[in-house]
Amino acid sequence: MSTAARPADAPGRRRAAPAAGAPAARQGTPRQPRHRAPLAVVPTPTARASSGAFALFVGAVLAVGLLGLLGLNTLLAQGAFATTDLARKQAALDTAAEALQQQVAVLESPEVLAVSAHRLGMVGTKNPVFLDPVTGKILGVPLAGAYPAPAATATPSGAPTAPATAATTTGATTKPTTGATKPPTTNPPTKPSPGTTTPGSH
Amino acid sequence: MSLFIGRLLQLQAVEAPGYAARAEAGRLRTVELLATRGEITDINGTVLATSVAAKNVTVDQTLVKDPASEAMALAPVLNIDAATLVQKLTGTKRYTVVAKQITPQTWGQVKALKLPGIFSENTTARVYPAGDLAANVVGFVNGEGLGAGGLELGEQSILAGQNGSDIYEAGAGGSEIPTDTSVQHNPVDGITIRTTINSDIQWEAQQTLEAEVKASNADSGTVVVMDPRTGAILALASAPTFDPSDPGAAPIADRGNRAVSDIYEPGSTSKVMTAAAAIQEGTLTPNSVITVPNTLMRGGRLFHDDVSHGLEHLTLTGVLAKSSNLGAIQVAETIGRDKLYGYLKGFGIGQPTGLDFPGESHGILSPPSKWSDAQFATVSFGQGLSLTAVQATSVYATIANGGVRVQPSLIAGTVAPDGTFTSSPAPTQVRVVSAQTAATVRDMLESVVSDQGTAPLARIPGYTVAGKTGTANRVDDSCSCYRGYTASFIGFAPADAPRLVISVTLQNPKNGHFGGRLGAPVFRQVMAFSLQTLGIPPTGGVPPKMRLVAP
Repeated sequence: MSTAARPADAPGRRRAAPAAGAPAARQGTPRQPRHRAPLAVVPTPTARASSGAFALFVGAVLAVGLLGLLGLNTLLAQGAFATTDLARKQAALDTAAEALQQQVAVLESPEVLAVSAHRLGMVGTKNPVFLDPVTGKILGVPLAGAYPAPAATATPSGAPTAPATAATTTGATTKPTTGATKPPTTNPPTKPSPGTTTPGSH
Repeated sequence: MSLFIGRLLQLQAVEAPGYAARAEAGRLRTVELLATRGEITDINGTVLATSVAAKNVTVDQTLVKDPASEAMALAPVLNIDAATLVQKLTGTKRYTVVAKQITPQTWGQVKALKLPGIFSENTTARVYPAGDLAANVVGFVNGEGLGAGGLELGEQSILAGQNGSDIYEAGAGGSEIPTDTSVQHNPVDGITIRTTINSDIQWEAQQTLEAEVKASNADSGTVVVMDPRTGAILALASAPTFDPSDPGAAPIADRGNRAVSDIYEPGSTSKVMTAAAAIQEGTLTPNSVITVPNTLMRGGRLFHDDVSHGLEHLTLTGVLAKSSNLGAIQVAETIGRDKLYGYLKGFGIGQPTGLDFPGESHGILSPPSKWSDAQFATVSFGQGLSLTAVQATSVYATIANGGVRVQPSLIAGTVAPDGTFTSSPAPTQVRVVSAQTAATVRDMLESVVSDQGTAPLARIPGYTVAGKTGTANRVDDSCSCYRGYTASFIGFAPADAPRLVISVTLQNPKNGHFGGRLGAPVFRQVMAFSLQTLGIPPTGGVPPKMRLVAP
């Protein structure tokens, strides 16, 4: 500050000198004060401009800060809104998924499966029968299934066991393999896993 | 002026915390986070019982201006009678429940009606996707969603879980204001119970049993399917059964599990224990000859067999195959009452099975010191002692498993909410008779299903089958006397390497009463189905030639 003030002060004194008149002329240097006077004005606005910019700067920082805070709060609030929104959506999807899972559980329950199997013309097995993939032997005594009357339930029980017991008296306790061994020997490649030869399922 | 300053100070400094607290309380919301009740599944994970989100419809009666029109609008959606609804909507109560446990979809429809005063609250509903499948095992829940029967009751503490809560500050729209005051306690979901039940076998057992109970006009019946090597119960059917989603519609007796709670006098199926005891004690062999007269006097009572016959010379095998009461009396007399009692106890009669199922009975076996001579005689052929169907099945499982009784089990393990499976502790095992005795008895039991035996209907072509019929006099509670019969058949297959034991019991059938006639066909049907389902091929074994009568 003091260095900036000095040039301003110096010309001032020199201007005062010609106003005093005689002493300046006596010193014999009249040219110099005229050239120095315009220089003195320039620095003054520079000093004023710098203090205004500072205020502007502080104001800007404040504004940015406030705006930032506002933005941050808005973001947070928006996050909360989004959370609420998504939670609602999730709840809706959860209930939809639950309803579908329930539907699947019902559809794959034995009762429903049995009814649809029956509708497709399938019957339960009377005698469990297996095919040995290595030897090609049939294990068990195959028995043709009989499709019960449509009115009957999918599971034959009680009365429908009659044909099975008829088979029991003829083929019981004899070795199950005799006679049935030949045809299946060609089968193993196409039927690698043990399964029923009678048309049936649960 | 100083008045205003004073008031300002009062509001801003002195009472400020109080106002702040009131404002916060107005914003604070507490939401109960419901724990999901554990599921009950079968051995393969097929769901037998599960919980789903549901809504309770509530009403603030003070906000309902026109109960009649609101009731009319609600009635078709909620499927509740309009008159009942009017009653529920009329009054000055700020809160009352209109409908319980409706689906979220139905609530969506109710909400769309935009009726003033109608609100909802979150809840859960228990659903049984497989209907009455294994209902007597799974059980049911009460109106509060707590277990009230079966495994739902027995495993309540494991299934239930613990509700959590969420406390937060909410804006006018109900959405959360992000502050540090929110506290969340996560709910702890219940643990899933995996039973040993095989849904398919259970279903087959239920269907077959139900049909037979109807056909024979029996009061009730049970089927138990057990793996003798592990004690795991694959099916536990009880008929008549009930609908677990509407337990109130069925009589109390149908809601329990007869196979573990109903005790009965087993009759002839019990003779296998008498025979095993005599063989183990070395007093008799399968071919020992027992002279069986037409009648026998014991303790002042005259005993006779089912069918009147002349003097017979049966082998021990013949006594079992022909199910002779008089033969069994003489077999028991070779070892004495104390030893017989010891073996009966060893086979689990009068003992807890270890299932710890709600309502389970241990059966009745009085100590031998209290037996009259007549009771000693009756106990030898299965009257004068009581057991449950599971206990009876366990006796045959012991023979099938080489003389070692494995504690029966219904729970394979638990599945934590994170999916980790913990299997149940290994069942306890007790040796009752030697492996050799068990093998001998198995051979003898194969003769029961022969043409000369009492149960040829139990045969499955291709397989070796062993078993025993029971046609017992039944104790009628209404008169405390013997009236009617208990018809049963218990057997296993393949006889030479048993994988499955199945018991069929029919209480008080009025259309026929012989175990070989009523029980054996059910056994055959369920056994054939189970062998096929589990992929158990025939062993190729041949039934041993056993002598039934003395040469």
